[in-house]
Amino acid sequence: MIATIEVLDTFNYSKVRFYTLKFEERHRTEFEDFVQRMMDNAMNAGNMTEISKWIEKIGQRGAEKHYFKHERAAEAIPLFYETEHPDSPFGIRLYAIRLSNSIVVLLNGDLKTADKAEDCENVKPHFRLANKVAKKLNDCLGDEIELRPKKIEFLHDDFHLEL
Amino acid sequence: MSTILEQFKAMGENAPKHVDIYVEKSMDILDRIHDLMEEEDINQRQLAERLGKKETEVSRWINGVQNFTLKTLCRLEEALGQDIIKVPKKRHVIARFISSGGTATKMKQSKPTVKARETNEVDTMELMAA
Repeated sequence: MIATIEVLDTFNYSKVRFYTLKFEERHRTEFEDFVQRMMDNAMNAGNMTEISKWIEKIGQRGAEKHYFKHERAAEAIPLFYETEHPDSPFGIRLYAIRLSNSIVVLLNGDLKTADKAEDCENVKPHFRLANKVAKKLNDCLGDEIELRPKKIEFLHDDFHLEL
Repeated sequence: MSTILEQFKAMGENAPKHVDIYVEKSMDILDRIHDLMEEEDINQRQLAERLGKKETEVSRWINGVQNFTLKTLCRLEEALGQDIIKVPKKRHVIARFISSGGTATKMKQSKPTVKARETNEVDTMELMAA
């Protein structure tokens, strides 16, 4: 499947620019899909409010490595919740890729129902996708993309990822 | 009409104050732990050794698998040799009469915030001339 990296204009803060991934044949970006699906369930409101706040604070303070959970080659947020999710002690997990202190790619996620991502049918595909994209982007660094402050520089107009 | 992403962003912006405080303080604590580890020039494995714990367990503390408990923070303070959080105490500092004609007075010390920790560690004294 072909995917491109898109800027999330709504989430442009002083220290960080957020991006997301869009599959060519899908109507929504991965991050939009996450937000839409999670917000459809009122039980998620508490966790989603906190995730939104984490994104805002990361945007204002900078994407320090220790603000993220490490998920093999990728990352996830948030680190902690104040509000426990009524349906799972693990809460909602949003997968992301922290490319630098000022560039973060927000992907997809779901309610995590098991300790390990591989044991949770909800988050497993998002965890795997995040790791796949993280590795691909890492391979593209230097040849196809360059990281500038708050900006991914695409060295070719038709940049895309084959996933 | 606002988009779903704008609505989601607004959820964070309009979050209750305690959520804002919680996220901000979590980040302050994470910054502090990593600053102290940098100061001590130790990595996660070495921190685990100091704590007499497995690295995976320490990783769960500082990489967000579970919330910090007060006990965890105390253990980390012991291992890192410095405060991670500091609770301000309400106290009165009695100023000293050091010059002729001066009058000693009492003042409340302002409560330091977590961020202001370093600058408030020295007792403040105030002298009022008679």
